Amino acid sequence: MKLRSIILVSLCAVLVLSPRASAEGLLNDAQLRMIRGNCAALRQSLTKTHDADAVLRSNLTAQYDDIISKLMMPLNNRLVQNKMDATEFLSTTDDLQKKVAEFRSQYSIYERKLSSTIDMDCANQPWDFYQSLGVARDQRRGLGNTVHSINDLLKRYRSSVDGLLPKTGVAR
Amino acid sequence: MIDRLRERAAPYIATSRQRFIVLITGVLSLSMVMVAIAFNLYRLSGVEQVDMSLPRYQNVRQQVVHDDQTPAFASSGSVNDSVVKDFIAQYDARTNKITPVQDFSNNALSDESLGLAATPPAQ
Repeated sequence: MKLRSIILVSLCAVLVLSPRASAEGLLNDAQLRMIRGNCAALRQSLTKTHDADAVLRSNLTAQYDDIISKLMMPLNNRLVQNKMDATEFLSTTDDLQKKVAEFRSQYSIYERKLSSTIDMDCANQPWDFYQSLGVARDQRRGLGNTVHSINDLLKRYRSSVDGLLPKTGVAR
Repeated sequence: MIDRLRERAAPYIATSRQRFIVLITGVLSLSMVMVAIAFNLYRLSGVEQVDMSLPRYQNVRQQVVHDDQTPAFASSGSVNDSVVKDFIAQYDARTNKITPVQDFSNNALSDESLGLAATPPAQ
């Protein structure tokens, strides 16, 4: 019974203290002083990144939506109407739409995390601030990977269009 | 005569005043509830996060590109070499705007960028 209580208390302590412990492990004294001393400047820098990312997100999603709705879908329709094999085109368009939706959702999560990090009192909670920054950093990396996947899908669609040229009967 | 009429009308006037107050209070309460629901939807749906008309985006708003003028590719007609080439030209023009742009993989949040790079302990 006593052993069970000790295990339970230890587990709770690990759960409660682990984020701080991991941040403490990553932060050295010099970094801790830097965060405490430059809190306002850090928050300002994060705000700039936040705003630049908002513009980037807005421009990228507008471009993706335009490419899908104004170019891909009309060409897909046209291929189907002409009874040509559009399987590859339809599948790439579908994958792209899913990735763009994933990008939107990932951005939403990242934006919340970055905003909450900016709102943190880094002068008095440097460990929590750094831990939150680490999460935002990982989420931003995830966004970068999604953008790369989207670019790959755009290239794949372009290759499929290239493959249409010999089928149209005229040499490239 | 007039006094008697006023006396008889007094309860009706009081009731209609009460009704008017209830009506105004009801309308105001309902509109406040509707505004609260709309505001919550605005926040929870994530629209607030990308609403570039917010005052906090005032400095960067002009960097948002609006391109509503470009026409869509025709969704009907034949598919021949010139149509495909025309599509490729439009497609490349659009995708070239995206791919060279700085994406989210730059190190804007890295310790180095934020001036938090760990300095090696003094020997």
